[in-house]
Amino acid sequence: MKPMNLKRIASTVLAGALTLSMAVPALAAEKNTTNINGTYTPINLAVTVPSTGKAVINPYGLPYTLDENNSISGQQITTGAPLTVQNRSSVALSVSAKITGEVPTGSGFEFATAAPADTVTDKEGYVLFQMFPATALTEANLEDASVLIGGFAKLDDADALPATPAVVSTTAADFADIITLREGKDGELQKGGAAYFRLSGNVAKKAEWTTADTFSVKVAFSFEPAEFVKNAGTLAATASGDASQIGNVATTIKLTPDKDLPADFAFTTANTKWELVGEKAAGFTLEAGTNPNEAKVKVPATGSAAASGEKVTLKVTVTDADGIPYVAEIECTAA
Amino acid sequence: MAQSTETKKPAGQRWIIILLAALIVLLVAVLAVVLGRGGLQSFNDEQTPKIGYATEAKVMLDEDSLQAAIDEAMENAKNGMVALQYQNDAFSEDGTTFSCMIANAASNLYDMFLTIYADDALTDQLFLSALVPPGSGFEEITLDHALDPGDHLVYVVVTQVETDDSGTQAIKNQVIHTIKFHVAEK
Repeated sequence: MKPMNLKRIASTVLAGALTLSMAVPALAAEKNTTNINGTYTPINLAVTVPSTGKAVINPYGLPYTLDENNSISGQQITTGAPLTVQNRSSVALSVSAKITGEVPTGSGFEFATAAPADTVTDKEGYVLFQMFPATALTEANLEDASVLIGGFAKLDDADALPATPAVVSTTAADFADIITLREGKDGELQKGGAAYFRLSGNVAKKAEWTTADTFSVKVAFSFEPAEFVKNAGTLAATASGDASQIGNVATTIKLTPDKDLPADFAFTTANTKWELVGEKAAGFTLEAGTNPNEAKVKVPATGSAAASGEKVTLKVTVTDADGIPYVAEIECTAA
Repeated sequence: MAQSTETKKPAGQRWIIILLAALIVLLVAVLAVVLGRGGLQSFNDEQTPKIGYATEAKVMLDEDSLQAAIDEAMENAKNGMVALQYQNDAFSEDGTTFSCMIANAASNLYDMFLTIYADDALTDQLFLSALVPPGSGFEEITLDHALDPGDHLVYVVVTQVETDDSGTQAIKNQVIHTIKFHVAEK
């Protein structure tokens, strides 16, 4: 056999050996691999935001009129018109914002980190970016100025979001998950899907303000799919019961609507749903309470009862007439 | 004497060259018309509203001026809403061409163009679009320069442009929102 043929045979054998050696781990890998096929489904967002608004620096808090029924006074910084963000997407959206203040050349305005004292004479302004639920707004009444303006005129700093004030400065600042907007219904705005936003704040009253003293605020919105859930209130054991000591005798847990749910909300078995959530839920028993806003939890005397110290979450979901869910939870522990 | 075939082109070939040249000229003309129609006039700084919600914040020291400013704000707010339609995530294999949906919602009143930046200071421009009428948009965009593999939060400036009967364009509204751009790892 000629040397060249030998070399060819040798190289072929080597190549084959290399291929096999690589194939074995590959085959081995195939045997031990679990394939999970996931498909990313893009979500189309449909949100409406306002563009340029006019802000007013009103050092003396002078009154102004929005319409024949609504006047505002005392606002030292205001954006004047009702500005809203509206969600018509098929999913609820959490709203975040990156906010940057700018002071143009020639302006004496200075962004402050706190409300200027009455004695301050520098042209300081404590500017806040605020959002509020515009609960009453729907597609049907969006053009109704009385609803839009009426809601805007009632906005109170105490209800502003985020809870920690979003103070504007010349340094870009992120404010995450300020508010969640409810999903649209058939592409239209429904209750809970809109929010007001405005600039508010205080300026130094004693500064010698001129029309050259201006500022601007740049807002970049981010929207992320989220769950639209409101807070139903506080859950607590009644009478001498103790949610941390659930025994064979049922403990009554009652919902007090002291958060987002109106205090005079009419609970019914149709709009109030109780459930036990968690790995150890099967070790507890849930029973109906005397009233729809109450439920009873106990550890059964027999069967697969929860062991002492094991926990379960008692969750209540209340749905109002507009289909908005309100949730409250409490942790219960087996005695 | 044999004639050199390298120096004398056949008549048919000459016609092909002429036709090709004419086609190129025609294509250039068509492109000029198409691009020119969707093109943007250059806007000077005075014409361009700043991107913000409190531009031209003005000091008001008397009730009449204050009320006039509020009335103007109310009037401006009527046509100041911008409907955004987009997907929150865009994907690319090469960092340059991204599949993503960004549209000028049919409910909008004006044409729009997009400027996409890699930074919140809006200095690193990635993309500038032509004008897009309401009801139209993009399913794929190609950036001016590639993004590295990984996830990037980009800033999309949506600018609405009004064109009057004489063809004069004016910027009406601007808003900013973010999109997450994902570039596949190599």
